[in-house]
Amino acid sequence: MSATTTSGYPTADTTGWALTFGHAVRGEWIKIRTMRITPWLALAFLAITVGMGASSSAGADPAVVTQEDLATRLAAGLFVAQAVLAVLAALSATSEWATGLVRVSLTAVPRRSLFVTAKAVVVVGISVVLTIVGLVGAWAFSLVRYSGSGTTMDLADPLYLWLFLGGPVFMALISTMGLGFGVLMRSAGAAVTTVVALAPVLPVILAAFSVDVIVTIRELLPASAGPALMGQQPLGGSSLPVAVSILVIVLWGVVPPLAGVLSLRRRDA
Amino acid sequence: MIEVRGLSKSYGSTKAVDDITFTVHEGSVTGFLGPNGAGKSTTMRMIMGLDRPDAGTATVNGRPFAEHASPLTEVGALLDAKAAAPGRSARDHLRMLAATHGIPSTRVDEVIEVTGLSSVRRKRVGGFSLGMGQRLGIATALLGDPKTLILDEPVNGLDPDGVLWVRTLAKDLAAQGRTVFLSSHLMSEVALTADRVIVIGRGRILADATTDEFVAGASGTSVRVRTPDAERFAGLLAEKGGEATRPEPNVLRVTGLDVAAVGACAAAGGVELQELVAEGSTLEAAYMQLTADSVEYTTGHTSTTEGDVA
Repeated sequence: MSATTTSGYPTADTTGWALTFGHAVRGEWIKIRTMRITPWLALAFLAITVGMGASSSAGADPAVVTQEDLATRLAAGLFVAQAVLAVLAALSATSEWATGLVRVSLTAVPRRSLFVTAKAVVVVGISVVLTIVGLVGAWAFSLVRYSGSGTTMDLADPLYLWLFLGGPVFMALISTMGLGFGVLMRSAGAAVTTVVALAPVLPVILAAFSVDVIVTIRELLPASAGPALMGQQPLGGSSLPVAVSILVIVLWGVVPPLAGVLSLRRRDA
Repeated sequence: MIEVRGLSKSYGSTKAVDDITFTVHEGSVTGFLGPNGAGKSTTMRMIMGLDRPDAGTATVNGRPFAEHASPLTEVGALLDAKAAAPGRSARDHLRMLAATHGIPSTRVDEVIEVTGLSSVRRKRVGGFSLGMGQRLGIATALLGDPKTLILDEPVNGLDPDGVLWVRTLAKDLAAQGRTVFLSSHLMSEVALTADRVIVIGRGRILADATTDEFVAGASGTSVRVRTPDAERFAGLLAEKGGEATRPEPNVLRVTGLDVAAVGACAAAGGVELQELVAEGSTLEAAYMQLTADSVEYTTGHTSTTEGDVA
């Protein structure tokens, strides 16, 4: 039912057109899906998670390997691949500022909390699905590797339950952290450097030091606290109680996006 | 309707917008006129809730923009034509914005069609010319069939066909009862399109009137007359309410009467005229005069009219 005028402008029946949470999420999903780098990062994440998980578990001696050991080896890829998700999430925010798109986006979704939450839902969804696919892939490769060796990998075993539930949660929190730093920093270079340093790089570097304060800092980094969600120890170990580590990784996932919302409200877009 | 009350904004020590108040009404096209750097874009960004004002308020259709339940059907804005990711196609750009309000893809195709982007809908925005980017920005503004349109320099970069179409579009939208607020640094552009004009210079409102009032009020029209009978004619003109100066012995410059009145006065008084010309006051001149003190950057020489690049 569109009427036209001399300019050819078509009027519309706008009944039912409204900004809702679901609509905002759908818009962000299209936005991230049509970012040119997204498929490549998704592919990289899966390649690393499956590749490292499978090769790590394949490297174990079937005769002596324990179930704990196998579960940890399956998750080996996540330690590196978390950087990919953090980068994807950070770019989903910084790409807004790279092009001035943010001024259009905030015209469609002016409420800053909804703007960030919709992005968070999308990066969390992507992270959860990719992590499950990656872990299942690594697990399937390992099954083949150990078939006939008497080593079983029963998913009903609580060890694997932790891994398959905790792994996606860990990656989801890493991605919301990346998103938060992206919104806070607005520059792709700064945000990517920060999240890559926080997620896999700094813990590796700091693991070489045994000074108390550095050990504590390392244990408080997201990549060190996160494995607690999967019932695992991080690289270099952690002296923190599991509950404390879980609290730490949750804070890493929640505080940056919240700070991002506040910064969006205060600063000019 | 757009209501701006006491709006101020500084960037560092520069006052971009200084305590401005104005109202833009529905059913008409209002031009927002000012030199580059006068505060037009800053004001529009504050209306859209993108920049935070230091003081004052701006409401659109009765409430702050961000508080509307359906922002895209309330306000359509073109603020920056380059505001699209270069790697995305024009259609994907519009689809992702449409999705935020549950706007169907048939509407996306409609605005693509009407802005003349059909042939490049699947092309990446990065390869767009300035004019195509501008069309995409206009398509974005029209997406939600909004009650109010805020267009920052909408004819920038458009070819003559496009400029003409934007003028028609603005008038059509206003005729449908919508609020149309468009900025320009070109008086001629605003004169051709707008019913009302708000002039801003150095962050302050210099004029807020109908376009006709603005022309009449700010112009100070004068009429140039060459006559061998200058002294007597000056006296006759004074009786009719005209005021004449005599720059040359045989030349009068008359203010307060238009060309027709001066001619009639001469005929009635039997005064021989050798020349009768309406002088000086084009819209452009009126605008230049008004904003002369408020341009941010001036060229070394004094130009009388702004280059008409539209």
